[in-house]
Parts: sequence; C-alpha cells; structure tokens
Amino acid sequence: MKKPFAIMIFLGILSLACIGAFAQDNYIIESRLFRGTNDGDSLAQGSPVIITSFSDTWFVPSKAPLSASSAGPNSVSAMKAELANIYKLKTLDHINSAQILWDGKKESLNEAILFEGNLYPIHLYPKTLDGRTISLKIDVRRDTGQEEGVKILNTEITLNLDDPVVLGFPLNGQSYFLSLEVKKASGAEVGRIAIKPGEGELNWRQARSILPQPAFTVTPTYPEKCKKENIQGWVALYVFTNIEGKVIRVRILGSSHPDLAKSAVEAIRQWTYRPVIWKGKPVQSEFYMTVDFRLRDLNPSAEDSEK
Amino acid sequence: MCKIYKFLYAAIPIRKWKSALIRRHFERCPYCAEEIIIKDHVVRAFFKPDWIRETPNLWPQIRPKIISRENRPKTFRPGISPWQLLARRWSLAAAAAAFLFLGAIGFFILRRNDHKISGPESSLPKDLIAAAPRVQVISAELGGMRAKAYIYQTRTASFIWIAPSKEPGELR
Repeated sequence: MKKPFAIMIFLGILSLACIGAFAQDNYIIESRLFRGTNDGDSLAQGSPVIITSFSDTWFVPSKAPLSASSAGPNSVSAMKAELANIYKLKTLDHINSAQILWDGKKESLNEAILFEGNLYPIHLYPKTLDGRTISLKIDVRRDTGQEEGVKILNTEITLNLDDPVVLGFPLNGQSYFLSLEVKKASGAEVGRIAIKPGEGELNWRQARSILPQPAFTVTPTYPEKCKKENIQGWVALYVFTNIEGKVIRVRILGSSHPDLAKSAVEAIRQWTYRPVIWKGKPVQSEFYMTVDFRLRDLNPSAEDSEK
Repeated sequence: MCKIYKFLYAAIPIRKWKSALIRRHFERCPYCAEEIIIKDHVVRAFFKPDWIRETPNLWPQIRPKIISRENRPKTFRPGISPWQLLARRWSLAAAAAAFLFLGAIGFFILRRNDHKISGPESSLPKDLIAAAPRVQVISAELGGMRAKAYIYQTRTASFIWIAPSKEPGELR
C-alpha cells in the first residue's frame, strides 16, 4: 500500500474515533403541569386553548403531544389518579405536557405556557452529576412584560433517571403540580422533526436556543364546527420571527384536525414578540409551539381512548 | 521562488494535492508569477522556430534578463538532496497527525471534566452526589421567599409539596 493512502486511512480512523469520543448522551425532560382544587369547582372550562412554546423540544409528530406517553405507570392518567389520591383533590386539570430535548450540555431549557391570559415562563437548568443522577434547577414565573416577572417557584433538586418527581405548590388559592421526568433519549428518536435552517445572522441552532417573550398575543378561536362536533385536539407549529419580533412564518409540524391547525396559524401569525438581543444586536429566532384545544378536562378513561 | 512555494513542495505528501496547491499559489503570488514569466521569456528566447533562419541579435536580447536574474538575492537554498526533502515531508506529515491526535484527546478530556464537575450551576457537595437517593431538595423558594419541602414517595414517583415557610431558612 502506498504511504499517502496509509496516512489517509490513519487520519480517517482517527476522525471516526474522535467523533465517537465526542458523541454524548441526549436526554428527554418530560414536564407536565396540573392544577387541582379541593372544593370541587372544575377549572377546565375556563381555558379551552393552551399554548406552549419551547426553545428545544422533541416529540413524535404523528401523535398528540398530550398523549405521546399516556401509557404505562407514569402516564398522565396514572399520575392524575395518584395525585388526586395523595392530595385528596376533587378536581385535577392537566394543563400541558412538554418533552424537551436536552443534549446533556446546554445550561438552560426554556418553556412558556400561555393559558387563561397569563404567560408562565419555566426555565430548567439541568446538570448531570453521574450516570443516573441529574441536578435540576426549576424557575417558574408569571410574565408581566417586565424583565423579571413575578417569581412563583424557584427550587433545586436532584433526581434519578426514569424516576419522576412531582413538585406541588400553592398559587392563588389553587394547587399546581409540575411533574418532571428525565429519560435517556435513544438516537433513533431524537431529531425526527426536520427543520431547514433559517436565514439571517444566526444559524438555526443558535436561533433555536432563544425563546422570545411575546409582547402581543391573540388566543386562537375554537372553530365552531369542532365545538359542535365536540372535537378536541392539538396543533404543533414551528414559528419564525424576524429581528423586530414579528412572526414572519409559521410552519405546521402536525395537527389532529385541519380546522384547529387553521385557527392556530391565523392567531399565531398576529403575534409579536419582544426582539431577541444576541451580542448587542436584535436577531431573528425560531421555536416550537403547541396549541391544545380542549372543551373539557380529559378524564382518565377519555384520555386513554385518545391513544 | 518564495517560501510558501518551498513549504508547499516540502510539506504536502500527496502529489495531486501538492500540484493543485502550487498551481493555485503561482496564480496568486506576484513574485512567483514574475519568476515564471522571466523563465518563460528565457525559454522562448532560446527556442528557435524553423522559420527563423538567422538570429544574430539573440544574445543581446536575452543577456539582460539572465544577468538581472542572476543578480537577485537567492531565496531558494540549494543543496538539499531529494532524500532530505522526502524525509522532511514525511516528518511534517507525521508531526501534523500526532498534533491532531493529541489535540483531540486533550480537548475530549477537558470537555468531559468540564461537563461533569464544574459549571455555573454546580452547588452540590460531593458526598451528597455519592449518596444518590431517589430525590433530594437542595433549595426551595415560593414567591421569592424561603419555603419548606415535604417529600412523599411511592413506587412510581416522588411527590414534593413546597409550602411557604414562616421561619426563614427552614428547609425540611
């Protein structure tokens, strides 16, 4: 064998070894938010549309984000039953679910939930301590348009992989429960949603690492046809904003009903965001969004039947 | 010829890449281009096409060019044997490969250590990490005030109820 070829093969093996060495584990942090009462007043009717935005996320677009993991001992219905039993709750509403992709390196993961006219940014700061234990800082706030917002919950916990933790806390006379579970993501499942890079000053990875805060929102209207036919569902979107924070493009990643998707896109197109500042300059951003349309709370049997 | 040309000639082990890089260099480097033009003139001056019968003025034409070239300071150091050039080329290639390998290993080790131990959010004592219980509450605040944490565990999950604390700093 000629020497140049030998060197090329050697360098190729070296490159492969380096790629293998740098490959790190990906994790999915599954969060769910519930709200419960002891007095029996159902809260579900007040919030027919719940919008959740993520800077980084992963979910299976062929299934509803809410029912993506509704089977097994840690399903939404099982969790609700256990919560109601432990805290003696008369009503318990499942507000949202999010499966956020964490590459094991990023310092913060951002989620923002809009329901009943209020926006609740949730910041997670995960850190691996060893092969099975994760340190997680959780910061929940209510957005007021100011920089800081109103502090609701700030806590730091350690938890094990595949072992859910439910944080319960009182707020405005009601009980909220934030369930968190960290799982290892298999390589085949990660990145199933293919997103083309956006144009602008940031590359798409940088643009996706920022979750801008909305400045003007319009709640999607529940389509009359869906209301009449008692249709509930979800819409998954990928949203692009320009440097002024205006929504310039909305891409539908998946939906359970075309009318719901149309209504969601019509509303989100009217949103404006506070401009994202990157290195002192306003930049564009890209992020995921799910819109859940609900006419009533999902009781365990109804939820399982959605699978 | 300039030093870049010498470096390209000595350092690149693969002939095809070497030729391409040297050609590209010649196109851009004014010094090397001038050298080539002069050589070309000299070659053309010596070349005698069939239709030229007599060339009485040939020597006066080429002499100034040859003299001016001879008087230039020489940048190329003669006397390096082909074997020395070959040895230098392969040693450079081996050194580059070793540098890449060591750099990659070092970077990987630094990255792993940085990822696991240090970081802006790390505030946990090492013995706590080693004990590895199912869940631990390090700190809890409600509405910006210190709060109490009550843990209840089942087989499937850990339930932590965070309640406002009347005693500042208390955590249970």
